[in-house]
Amino acid sequence: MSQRLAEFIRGVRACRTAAEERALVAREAAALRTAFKEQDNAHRHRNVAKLMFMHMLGYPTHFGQMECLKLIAEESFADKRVGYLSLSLLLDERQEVLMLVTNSMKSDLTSKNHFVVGLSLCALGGVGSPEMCRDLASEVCRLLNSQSSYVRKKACLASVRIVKKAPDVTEQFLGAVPSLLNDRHHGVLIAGAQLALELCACEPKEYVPRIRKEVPTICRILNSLMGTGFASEHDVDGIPDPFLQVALLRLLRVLGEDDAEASEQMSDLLASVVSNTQGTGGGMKQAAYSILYECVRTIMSIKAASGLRVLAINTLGKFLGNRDNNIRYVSLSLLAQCVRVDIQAVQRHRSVVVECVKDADMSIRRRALELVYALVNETNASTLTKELLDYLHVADVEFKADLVEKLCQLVSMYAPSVAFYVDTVTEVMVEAGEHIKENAVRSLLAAVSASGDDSVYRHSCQALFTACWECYFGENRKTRTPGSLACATCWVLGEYGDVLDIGVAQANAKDFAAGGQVTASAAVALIEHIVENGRECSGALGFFASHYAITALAKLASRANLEGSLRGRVEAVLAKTKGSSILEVQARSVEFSELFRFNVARKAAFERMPAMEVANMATAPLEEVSVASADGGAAAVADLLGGADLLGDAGNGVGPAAPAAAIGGGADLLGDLLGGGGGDIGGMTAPASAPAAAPVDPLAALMGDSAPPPTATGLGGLLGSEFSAAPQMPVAMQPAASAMVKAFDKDGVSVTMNFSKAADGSVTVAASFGNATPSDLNSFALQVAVPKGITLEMRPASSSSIPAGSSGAVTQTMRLQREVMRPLALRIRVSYTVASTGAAVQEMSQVDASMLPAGL
Amino acid sequence: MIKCFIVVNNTGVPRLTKFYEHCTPERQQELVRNVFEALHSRADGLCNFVEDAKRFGKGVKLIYRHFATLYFAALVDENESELGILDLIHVFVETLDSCFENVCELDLVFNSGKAYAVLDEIIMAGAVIETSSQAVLRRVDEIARAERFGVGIAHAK
Repeated sequence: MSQRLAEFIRGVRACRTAAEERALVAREAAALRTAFKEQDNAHRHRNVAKLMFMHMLGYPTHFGQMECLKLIAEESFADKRVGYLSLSLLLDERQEVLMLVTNSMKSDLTSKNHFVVGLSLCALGGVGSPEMCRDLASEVCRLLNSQSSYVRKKACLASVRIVKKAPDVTEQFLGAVPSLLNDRHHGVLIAGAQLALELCACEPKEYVPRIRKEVPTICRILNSLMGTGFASEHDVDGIPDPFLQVALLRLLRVLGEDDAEASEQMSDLLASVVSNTQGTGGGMKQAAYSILYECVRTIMSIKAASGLRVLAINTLGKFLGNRDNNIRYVSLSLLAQCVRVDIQAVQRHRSVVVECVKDADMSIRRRALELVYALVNETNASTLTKELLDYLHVADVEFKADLVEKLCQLVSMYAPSVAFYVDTVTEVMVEAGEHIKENAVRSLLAAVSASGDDSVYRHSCQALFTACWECYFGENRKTRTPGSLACATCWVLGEYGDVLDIGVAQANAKDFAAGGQVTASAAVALIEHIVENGRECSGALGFFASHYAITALAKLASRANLEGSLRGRVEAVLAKTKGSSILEVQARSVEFSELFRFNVARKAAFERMPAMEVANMATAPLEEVSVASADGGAAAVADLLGGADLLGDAGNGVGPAAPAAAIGGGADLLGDLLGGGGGDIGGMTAPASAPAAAPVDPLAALMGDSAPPPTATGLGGLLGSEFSAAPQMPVAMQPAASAMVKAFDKDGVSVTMNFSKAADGSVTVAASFGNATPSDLNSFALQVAVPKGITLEMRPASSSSIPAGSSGAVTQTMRLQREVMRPLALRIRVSYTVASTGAAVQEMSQVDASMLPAGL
Repeated sequence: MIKCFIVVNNTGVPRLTKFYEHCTPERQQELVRNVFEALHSRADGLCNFVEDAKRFGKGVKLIYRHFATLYFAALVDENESELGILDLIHVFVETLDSCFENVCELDLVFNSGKAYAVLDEIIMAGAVIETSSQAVLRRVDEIARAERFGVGIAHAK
């Protein structure tokens, strides 16, 4: 004889350790198994109740599933109830056992007892599988007309489940909607509104117009609610049935969207809901706010007249003025909804929103930050970023990452000048350098590079140098300098240090006078310091600081105006770092010292990088990258390093660059900058780029006769070392695979797809369309099908017509996300009309896994 | 829709859980833990909504109320009205309170069957079905009577 449920629960509660509890539950589970095996009918009820308790605590209970079914089949109501309760708690729609219960449920649906019917409906609504839903749909539909309101409302919600799980049998429920919405009972009305909403969501095109006919009915219900025509039992704080009002307003929103006539029909009512609810007195209750909130949302979504919009926006003021945190949170949500419709109205509340970013409550802060992000434009960018920057100093750690990300995105899009951009991101790096994303740093450097303006270069050198120097030696020095800052400083000083005066030679970076003008000598001293201490930098980029530093030194020492004074010093550093314990630094030092023996090649190799073109990450995440052809050996190197593909991989910060002059060290730096470390080269498996074996040849050719064998080896080593360096990369730096595939090519029309895999496993596909025919192509459409388990997200194409003789002029991006790791495959349908003849063409094609590299 | 309703105490032990969307038992336990962690770290007096894409998924909101030793929490999608759910939790607790006369944690532990009956009358299939605490009480009483006297009791109106 087993113990009683209460005793068991008491026993579990008395356990002092988790181990004790586990042992007790295991003992009880064993007893239950035995009882189940012995068909202990007398205690089944109690045993299943114990199972539910165990399940809630997280212990396995699958062995008792059959017992639930047996209880359901019992005649006694008490047994049935426990049976159905355990069914909805212990089982779920994926379990095959569930199929066995369909018959019991079907007979219970026809029971004379309304509570039995209710239990069955409730279980169907909770765990009904698609098959069950299909089998029981007609029964449930019949119950929608039941005499009992209790059954009607439960049948409504069971229907919601059926509509969700088995969309093919929904038609019959549509007919019941009008009578449900005319029901006198409050619960049936709420449930009926939810059923109508679900039907709308299931077949928007077909069902919404049919349900739209009910708009006058819905308006009438709302009207009578306001006139307190309904039972006061459902009132909350004196507001008549807020739950029903909210449900109906939501239904109106779906029905009024994009339909002028329905919008017109409901607009008077919406206005009176707003004024009535507001009129309930000065201290509005939460329930009143929830109605207003829903009502304003509806007004903003439908095709409302401007007067109504003004009314809705004015109520926003009332929300924002409230001191209650819940209301403030909701009002921020509401503003976020309004931004899409009427940004000017929301701008008026900007200062309140900015205050909310500094709120003590994380939920409110996050909401407000998103809203600020939506509100920023060119005119208010500098004030808003200033506010956010000030706040960054005091923000708590868990919020910093969000804030930093948004700040960087904001300035990258709206900074009034590059100098402002540099100053802002520099401050962000100083303040929260370990939170800054790599691509944010890349975007900054790309923007500096793209400016092509010496004064910007000088400003950037000064700003970054000062910030970095302060981190090392300033009054408020940091224990660890942010790696992002160190990398960015080295890169900018290395590239553009030649715009600085040479200044007085400095033996030690410490000697620099705080706040002074940066000189090339001071820059070299600081970079030397970073070479020596790069390892101590913080953040994901900290690892790379010394790599960037060593390259920067070599670059500086090769500039015409600096070479005289710096070359000796840099060569001394290189000689020292040849013995560095950091493999990458050691390898580069060896290579660079070799290069220093060949003046011509070295100068070309360490030239400034060509200005990068900035692709705004918000508007164009991925673009088809075209490789500008370069002359001679340079092209070979560019090709070899796959400059274009690297950019494609990076995919977020920097768009197409012109790798024309990307030679040797320069290209290397490019790879570094864009790929976050040479590891990308190791990851280049794409057929489009040169095979990995190629490196030595073109480089040797580039070096020409002047290059003795050791140099070539050295340079080969440069690439070789990239491979060996790859395993050390932190996970976030894992190289992404990519591939360029000709997905479709027929009659001069082609679709080229550039696959690139992001660190999170998703694959971004940039398709570009080529048209080699003499005629323009109109209404060009690309359709893509993917196998099960892969979800596809397509952006609109940049244009639907493709000009004659163009290649890559029109692009389209899509994103593939795999739920399970399986090979990618795409089926493609291309349709277009030929402009000159008017002929419509439709073609199919396929991209198999075999066409893609294994890494994808 | 309401994805799940969870009652968890101040030490993280679940007292009542109901999931309206398919969820493996492991995921259920994980969600309970996540809810508790998210709520436990929140000070009093903050707003009653938490968004945390990492813990609960994108677009899912945690709406909760804290009463004595228990957190009552619901995870909902974007379509639900936050303030509405907050009121709903209030209705649930109010009903439990009249059901058990000053409800406390132990009532839920030892009478979970009744607590679930109350919940099932208020939320069904992830949607609100009844919001009047008196109406719910009447039904729960009738159900209790039906359990005691067997099938064949007065029909609900």
